[in-house]
Amino acid sequence: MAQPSSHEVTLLLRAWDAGDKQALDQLIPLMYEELRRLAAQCLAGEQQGHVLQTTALVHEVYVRLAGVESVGWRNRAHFFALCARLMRRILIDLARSRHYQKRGSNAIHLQLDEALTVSMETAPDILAVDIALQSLATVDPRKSQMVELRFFGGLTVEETAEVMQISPETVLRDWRLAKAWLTRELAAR
Amino acid sequence: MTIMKPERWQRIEELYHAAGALPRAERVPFLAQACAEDQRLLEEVRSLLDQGVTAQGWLDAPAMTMLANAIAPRAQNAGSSQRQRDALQLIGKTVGHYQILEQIGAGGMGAVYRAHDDRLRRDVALKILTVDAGSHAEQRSRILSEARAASALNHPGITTIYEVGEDGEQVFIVMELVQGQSLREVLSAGAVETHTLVRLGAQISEALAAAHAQGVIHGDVKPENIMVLTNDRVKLLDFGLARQVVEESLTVTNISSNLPQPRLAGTIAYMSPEKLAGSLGDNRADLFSLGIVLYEMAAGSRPFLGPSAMALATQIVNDVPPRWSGGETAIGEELVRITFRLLEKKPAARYQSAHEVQVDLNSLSRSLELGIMLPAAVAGKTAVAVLPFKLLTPTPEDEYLAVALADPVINRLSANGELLVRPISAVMRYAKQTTDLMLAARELNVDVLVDGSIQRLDRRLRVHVQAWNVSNGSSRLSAKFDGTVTEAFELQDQIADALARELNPGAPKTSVSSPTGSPAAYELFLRAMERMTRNNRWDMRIAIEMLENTLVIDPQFADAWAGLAEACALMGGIFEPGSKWIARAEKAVRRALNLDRENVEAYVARARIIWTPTRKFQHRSALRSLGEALRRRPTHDQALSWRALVLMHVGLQSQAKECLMTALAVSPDNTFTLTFMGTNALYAGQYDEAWDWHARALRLDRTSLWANLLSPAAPLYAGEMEKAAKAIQSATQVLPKDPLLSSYEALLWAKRGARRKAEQLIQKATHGGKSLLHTHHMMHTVAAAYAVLGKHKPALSWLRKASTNGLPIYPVFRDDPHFEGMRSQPPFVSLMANLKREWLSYQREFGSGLASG
Repeated sequence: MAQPSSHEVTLLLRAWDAGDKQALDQLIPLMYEELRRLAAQCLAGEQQGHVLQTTALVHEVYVRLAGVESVGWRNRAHFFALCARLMRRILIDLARSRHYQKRGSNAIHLQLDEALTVSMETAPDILAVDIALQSLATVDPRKSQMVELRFFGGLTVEETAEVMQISPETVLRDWRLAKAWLTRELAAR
Repeated sequence: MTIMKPERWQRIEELYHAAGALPRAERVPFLAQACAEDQRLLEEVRSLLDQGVTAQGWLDAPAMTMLANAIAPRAQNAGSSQRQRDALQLIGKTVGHYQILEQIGAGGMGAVYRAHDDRLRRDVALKILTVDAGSHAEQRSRILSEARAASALNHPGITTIYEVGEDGEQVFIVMELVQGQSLREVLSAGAVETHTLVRLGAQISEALAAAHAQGVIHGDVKPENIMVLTNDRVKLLDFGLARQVVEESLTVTNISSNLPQPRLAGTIAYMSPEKLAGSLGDNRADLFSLGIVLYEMAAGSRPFLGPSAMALATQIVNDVPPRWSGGETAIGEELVRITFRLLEKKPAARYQSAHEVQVDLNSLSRSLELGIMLPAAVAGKTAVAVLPFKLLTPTPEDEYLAVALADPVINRLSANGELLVRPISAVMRYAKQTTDLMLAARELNVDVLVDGSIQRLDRRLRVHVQAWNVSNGSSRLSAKFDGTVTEAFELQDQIADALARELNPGAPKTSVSSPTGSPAAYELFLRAMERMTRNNRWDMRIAIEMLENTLVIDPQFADAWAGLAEACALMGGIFEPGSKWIARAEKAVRRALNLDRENVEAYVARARIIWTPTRKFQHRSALRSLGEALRRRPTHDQALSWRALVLMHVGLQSQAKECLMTALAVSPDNTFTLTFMGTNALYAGQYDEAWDWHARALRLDRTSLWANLLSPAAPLYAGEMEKAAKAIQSATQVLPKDPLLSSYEALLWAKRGARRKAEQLIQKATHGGKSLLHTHHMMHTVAAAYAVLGKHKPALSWLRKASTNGLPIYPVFRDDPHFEGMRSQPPFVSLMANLKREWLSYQREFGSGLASG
């Protein structure tokens, strides 16, 4: 696949943000390809004794996708928020496709390796997290967005603070409660 | 869920943060005051605070990592080194009868692949060693013999080696395929949270101890060789294998070079001073490496960080590492002490065995667990163990005295609930053997240890009692007590008094008069009580006979009536189920309570009797009776476990958990309590936690019937079929024909889609005779199996049967995922509505603990 220009990606993100569903269909394979490349690098790196930090990994995906540094400050925050939402979509699609596979249907949204769907088995149920997050949104939309940014988007505390325009201390405080709430919600299922 | 008003949520938030900032013990009182009448608000905040303990977890690893991890193993275009190209060439080839599928790792020893065993049709890990066969024949044979020694190890914490083989030039080792992360990967996220650290550390020590006991030394303990599975279980890799290679590479030229050597440095960093000095090192060298690993887990970085191999080696030999920052609590200090003792330069100054490390870490883990989760009422109380006394000249005739004198002392000391005194069942294993007192104290996790010796001269007894402070080994009390055998009661009364004055000086002296005027009756009673602690059918029968004779001598002896009631209840409940014993027990308990309304044991026995199938599981009366017992003796471990058991069956999971926690504070290694803890977690939907508790009970007692029977449920509910199948299999070895196991198996096959097999097993379960446990658990499981098969009618009917036969466990039935497909059907809805009504009434009476119970 040809490497899309970062400009193109930015445009697609904007289009998706504006409600263009087709833009999403184009974005997902791009993001997925990028993740794959990074995972490969990560593997190679590990054999030499280095381990990439997750946040660094996430950033690299974003930077490679759209050249974050070139995007202005205000846009950067917005961009992060969009990426986080995109990540959430991708992960949920993955989890769903696993579900379908289990039921013997071939309806898979994404072209995925079997290996990927197999090894996702051990991860916590993303679909359950998603549903719990939706119900958190009805109680407290701010915390729900924060979980999207932190858990799905992989943003640091500082970046989350930047996107949400609150202090890092508030992020930490909210994060604690959001985690407790979600853990309890998931345990009650 | 219902939509919450914003003001209410805001209030919850405020209280959550305010309470969260307080020390644990102060939270509940604070909330009670702040919430005043609003019980639901209190519950809401408290349930959120409860999550705080475990919330640090997968949510902190962004979903992205999960994705990357999932993709990583398949990324074959990774890297370009020669080694990797070689590795890729092997994919698809066969070695022996193993077909190589993909590379999953690489190390100094060679590459590791996932491979398929064509004969046994399973996936294995295949390690191909990079040994140049021609020039190193000697090295090759040494490696082979080391690997063969390691393959003899059989321990859940050690990767099983299936085969050590040679295929032409290649030497390969076939191992169990372990799914998980290496500790190195875990550490990449920084320091490990203390509780996890201690649990992992204890497991590593346990595995090392098992290997050392077989004479196998690991030789290269480091995070790369420690796998952390889901559930925080640990497996050590490469036992004895790495040793050769490490020694080969450790030549003078390598070390003295000042150039950075990443691979070698990675190994040297964990190496003991004596090995660096050129000695071979024994088991204590592994312990030093373990010390570095623990340090790294606690601090987030290694203690020695020299930039080159030489610098590192110099530091390890000479420097004392800095204490890591943070964790300046009693628990943190204990962890520092353990770690630094492992890091002593001289092997003789370290721990001498991995077992000792394990004991210390386990007891730290208990303090952590108990300290964190313990109900405020018992946190921080002094824990005491009274060991069975030793007879200086043992005779079969006097044997009973060892327990018979200690047991009443235990009861007296625990009477007012101010001390956490280990019950006789916890200390029985120290009877009739010479004991290392300090080791026993650590195993029992107590602050004070009491032991005594009995000297007998004709009818005269002299008892020498000593109490020790465990923390520093100092003596708290040393006293001699004299009396005749007929004065046994006065003797133990004096002993208990002396101990109570020393250990619990604030408590008012309770004057206790002899429960019987007849010394002969009392002696017989003591003998019977000792028989009962042996906990088997035959001794129980003998105890009953002795108690009946006791009561012929003194029919007004209330304790003896209570003992008889308990013995008969145990017979009728466990050893020879049936109404005959229950009827006798009922008669005895009435007599006991008529003579003494304050008799704690009688209340416990009463609950045991009425909460049986023959007495139709009278949940409410049983709970009330246990409430009476616990109001008089708050730390009665049996009353606590039973109360929890009953609460569990009526769907009051958090109340049950509180009782179990207190019971564990009193008796941490009680396998019954641990098993109930697990099943209670299962009912609360926490499958991993349930498995952990059951596994812990089984580690303490492989043959525990209850733990064996109940442990398959958690993996079954979690959908971990292989694990469930294994658990069923090992339980079947202990209890070959139990219908509950057939019902689990039915559910297992139903979930796997094998309908006919599932139905056959359902028949086997429902016509399979008597279960050790109450049949309602089997009924519930059968209902679940039917539900999975889509047969909603029989599912509902079995569920109804379970609920009318002692398991009206509304929230569990409501949330049980197997009933998903029937949830909206009217008969199910109406059953749930009825059960909910019953549940609410239990909640009203027993929902807020003992105060209103």
